[in-house]
Amino acid sequence: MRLTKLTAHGFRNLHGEVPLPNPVALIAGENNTGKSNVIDALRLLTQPRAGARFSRWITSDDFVHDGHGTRLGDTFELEALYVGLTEHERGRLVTCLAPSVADDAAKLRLTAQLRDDGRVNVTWYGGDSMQPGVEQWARETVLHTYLPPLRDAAGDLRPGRDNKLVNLLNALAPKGSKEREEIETAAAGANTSLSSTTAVGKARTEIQGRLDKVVGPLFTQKTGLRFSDPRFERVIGALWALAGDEEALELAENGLGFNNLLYMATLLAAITNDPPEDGLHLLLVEEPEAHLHPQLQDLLMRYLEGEAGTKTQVVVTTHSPNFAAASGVERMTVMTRAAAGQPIVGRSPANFGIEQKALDHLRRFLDVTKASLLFARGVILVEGIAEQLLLPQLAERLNVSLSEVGVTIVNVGGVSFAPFAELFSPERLPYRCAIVSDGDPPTRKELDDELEGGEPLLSATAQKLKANETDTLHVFLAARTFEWDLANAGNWETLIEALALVKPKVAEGLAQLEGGRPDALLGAVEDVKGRFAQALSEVLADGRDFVVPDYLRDAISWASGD
Amino acid sequence: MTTAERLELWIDDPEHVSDQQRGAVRADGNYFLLSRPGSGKTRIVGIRLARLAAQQKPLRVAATSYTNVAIRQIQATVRERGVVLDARHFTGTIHQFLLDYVVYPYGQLLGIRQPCNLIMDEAWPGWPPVIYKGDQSKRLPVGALHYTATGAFVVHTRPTIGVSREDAATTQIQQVRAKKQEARKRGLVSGSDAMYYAQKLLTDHPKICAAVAQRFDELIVDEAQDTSDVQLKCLELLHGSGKLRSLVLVGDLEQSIYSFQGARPPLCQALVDHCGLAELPLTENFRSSQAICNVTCRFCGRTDPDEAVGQNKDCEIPPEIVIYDQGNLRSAVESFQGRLAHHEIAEGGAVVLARRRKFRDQINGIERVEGLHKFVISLGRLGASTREQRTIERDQLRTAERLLADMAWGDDPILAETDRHLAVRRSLMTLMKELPDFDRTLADWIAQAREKVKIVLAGLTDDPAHKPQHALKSKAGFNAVQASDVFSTQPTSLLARTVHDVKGESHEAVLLVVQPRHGQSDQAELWSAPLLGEAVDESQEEELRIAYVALTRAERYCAVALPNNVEVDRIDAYLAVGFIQAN
Repeated sequence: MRLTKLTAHGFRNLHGEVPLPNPVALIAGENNTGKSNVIDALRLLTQPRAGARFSRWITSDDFVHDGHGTRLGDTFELEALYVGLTEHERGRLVTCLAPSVADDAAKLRLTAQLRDDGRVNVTWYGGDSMQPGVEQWARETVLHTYLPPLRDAAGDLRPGRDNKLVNLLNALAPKGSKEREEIETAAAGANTSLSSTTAVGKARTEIQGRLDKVVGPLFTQKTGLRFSDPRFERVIGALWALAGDEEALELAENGLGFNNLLYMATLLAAITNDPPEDGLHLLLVEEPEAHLHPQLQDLLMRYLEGEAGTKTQVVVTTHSPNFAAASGVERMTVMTRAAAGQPIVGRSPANFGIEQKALDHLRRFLDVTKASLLFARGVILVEGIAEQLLLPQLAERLNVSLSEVGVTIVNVGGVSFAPFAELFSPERLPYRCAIVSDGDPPTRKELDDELEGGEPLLSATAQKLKANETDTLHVFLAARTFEWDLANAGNWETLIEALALVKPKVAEGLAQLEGGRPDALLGAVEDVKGRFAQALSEVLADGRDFVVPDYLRDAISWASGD
Repeated sequence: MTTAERLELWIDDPEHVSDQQRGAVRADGNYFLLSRPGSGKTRIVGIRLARLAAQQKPLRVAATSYTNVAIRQIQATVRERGVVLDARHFTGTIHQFLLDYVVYPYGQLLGIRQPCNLIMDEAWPGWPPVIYKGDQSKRLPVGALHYTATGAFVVHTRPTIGVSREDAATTQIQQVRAKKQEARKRGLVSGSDAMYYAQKLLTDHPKICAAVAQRFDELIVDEAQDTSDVQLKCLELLHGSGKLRSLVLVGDLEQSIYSFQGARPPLCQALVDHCGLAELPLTENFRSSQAICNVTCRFCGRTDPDEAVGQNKDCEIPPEIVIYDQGNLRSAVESFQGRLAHHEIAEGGAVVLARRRKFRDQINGIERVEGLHKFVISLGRLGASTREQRTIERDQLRTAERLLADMAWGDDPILAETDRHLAVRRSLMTLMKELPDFDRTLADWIAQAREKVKIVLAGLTDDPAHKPQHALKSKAGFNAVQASDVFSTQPTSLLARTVHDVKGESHEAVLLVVQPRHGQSDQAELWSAPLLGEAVDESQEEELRIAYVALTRAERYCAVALPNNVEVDRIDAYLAVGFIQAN
């Protein structure tokens, strides 16, 4: 069975459906879009594998509020949808089947009501039924392991009651097994040897003597000393996890990042060695990128994908474009809103009905920088490096800070806007996407240059997209090309200054030109567009005036929400 | 040693479990445990459940029975064996099983509004009425019409509107169906409706049926002889899905006494045959003396008595008959008391039984008042329990809660552990303290109780669905009766109880009081018929089983009290099979 959707109403800032791709779902989105709330909701809807002590309890903060502490409601509802149940799982979840969805689907729903005295009433519902009550056996079908953000890996792997190694060894040495007996015998033996040593014997006599003197012979009790209970849990709880480059060290002596990996490895090993008989195990991981450098992030993502299978499903929240880039767009759930003040929605490109060819294209091209479009409030798609470098500076000339308004510029590296554009619509990624492109179609040669390795030409050019504009997707076309339009808007002296940094002689020749300036500039930079853009960026850094061409002005102001 | 290993050793010990019982405990599934009174069948179910639950890989078992009493026995047996049942198992009535796994999750497929309000009582005023003969005054609540397994209807209690039971059940089918549908839309479901809806859902949705069957590895149905036709059909469907690994029926067809709720021993036997269940008979009696076994078997036409094997097997007190003055019912109990003293049996271990509730009340000296509203009865009983410092039974409390909640909110169900439920319980506790004493007329008691109810009701809602005046209403004649005669149990020792009340129980001594002949009914004649080898009409067979159930409750001494106008040949019939006349 698979968890495919979470539905929430009135739970913190969640309101609506959050699709969850499987077996790995990567919840992305900017801060405050409710990524952690998705994880918290799943923690409430499923049972912690480690036992009730690790349950997340409902508090008054879980009821929707206005962001300033004023509560807007006193009830919330959460629902998990599972599909693909096996026959056996259908039996286990018989009180939760949802024939309205499918024969092999089940739903579990909880409603919580905050009472005046601050306590919370919780009612469970199963399947399509509005009759309250779901048997515990059904609710235990899906178990979760939760890995919180910024975890104290060193602390959790230290000896003690919560030592995560206990689960692992429990799984490897189950009750009644020879392995367990071995451990217990060894511990009992050690205990006997220890208590027969001279020092321990003396200590025992000393204590007993003192006790007898204090309470007298009538009240005295027998005292004893031993090192640890030879019971399995105690022995295992006392194990320390060690790690290090050259030799295994105590965790406190290691870096945070590696300790985190060790922690996850320990938990994952326990899970893999003790798979659920039926049902599903959810691994809920918050921001696993913490303390990990990008290559390790990439490796961890691949590992998590490997762990996910028919019995295990992974849900990860992340801020890291590395993770997003490593996992593929069809694994993503983007938490976002159409505009400020609008409710947050969860959208998963896997459900957009995008053709496999376009998905493949996105997977190849959604690298670390482009993946940032999933964490934005608005996006400007541009053709090349020149626009990508210069647009933020041009925006500043319009008194717009693109990073402050959350607009990301993504260089699609050519003209293959179409697969990216498919991500945006009010029903898909609902924020604004501006496409900035040339008025002229690119020449064959230009394309060949851009697309090293012979990427097939994609038919949908910006002009074609123009015909398919939606409320959230607009196309802004230059009169001719980026550089031509910059020159056409004026700015001649600044442009020549920048050109001088790249082609000093040519710049000198053009400095006094009166007519045909745009064409002349375009001709001069045709083969050095990137370098010219860098030079212009340097020149503009001093904050001088610059006239922004109208199509760019429109694109920037529309993408930033005006 | 693990719990499972300890349990196996315990089961191996013949002191705890006999060979016959052990066979049943350890048998593979899919069998019919044919039990007899005192064979310890419910205990066997408990031990079997404990064993299956304690294994290294526990089986998922649903252990069901017909009454809550039996369920509590099963749970207690499991607890005594040190086994804790986790969420994979179910223990509860067969009724609750079908509600929890079929009706509640899927009732919406039949258009039942949820949450649905399970109303067990056909006297409830909120049922849509079925009108007969086009006369608005000839109406029956649709809750009084019960589905049979074939989708037809039956009426259990004889209507008082000038329509026969048969006509009431068959003449207004269309109207009944429409009213049932209306009730479903309003979320109103009677206990028997719910079972039929379970049957319908399991029939119409084979995948749901398969999932329910798949939920458990073994379904045990204790007291299978009392299971209704509709419930049996549900079991047949679950077994027929092929997904139920084991079906275990446990029962004694000779103890089937619930025909008024649809139980038919032949249907139970038919299910056993249909499912191909192996029959495992239990012939040992752990409860009664051999002397008792020797006579009780005669009431169900058997001449081979059960084998007494329990601690009372050698008790030599013979079964007796006592003759009582039919003008003084209490004299039956007094004679019994004398016999108990003679046999040195404490009264605390004895029970007096009557076939019918009305006769029981007469023996107990309780005034039977016609037209008393359920709520008045319920409050009166609670008041009596409080005053006489008796334990208040859960079912008694539930009934009162349901009636009070209905008065406050009408159709709206009170849900377990909701604020509403807590409020109702608190109100009821207050009310019980405040109820008037019984040393006044019934009319006066009702009037004063009404005022108290008004106060607690106001604490529950500003706008009650039903005014207390409706339920707590005085009627003609209530002035002439003392409240204490209606509610207080006059003799505080040896209270008579009905046979249905003590089903499944054991008592050191039992007195079955035979009701004097009235109208068509002649209990003395009927119950002596099998002793004389006389044939009995099929419709009367259950009455014989009731006598059988009554007398088989006895551990050491059983007696039958016969009215003094009974014919001599009837007395001789008892003497012939081994009874001794005691007075």
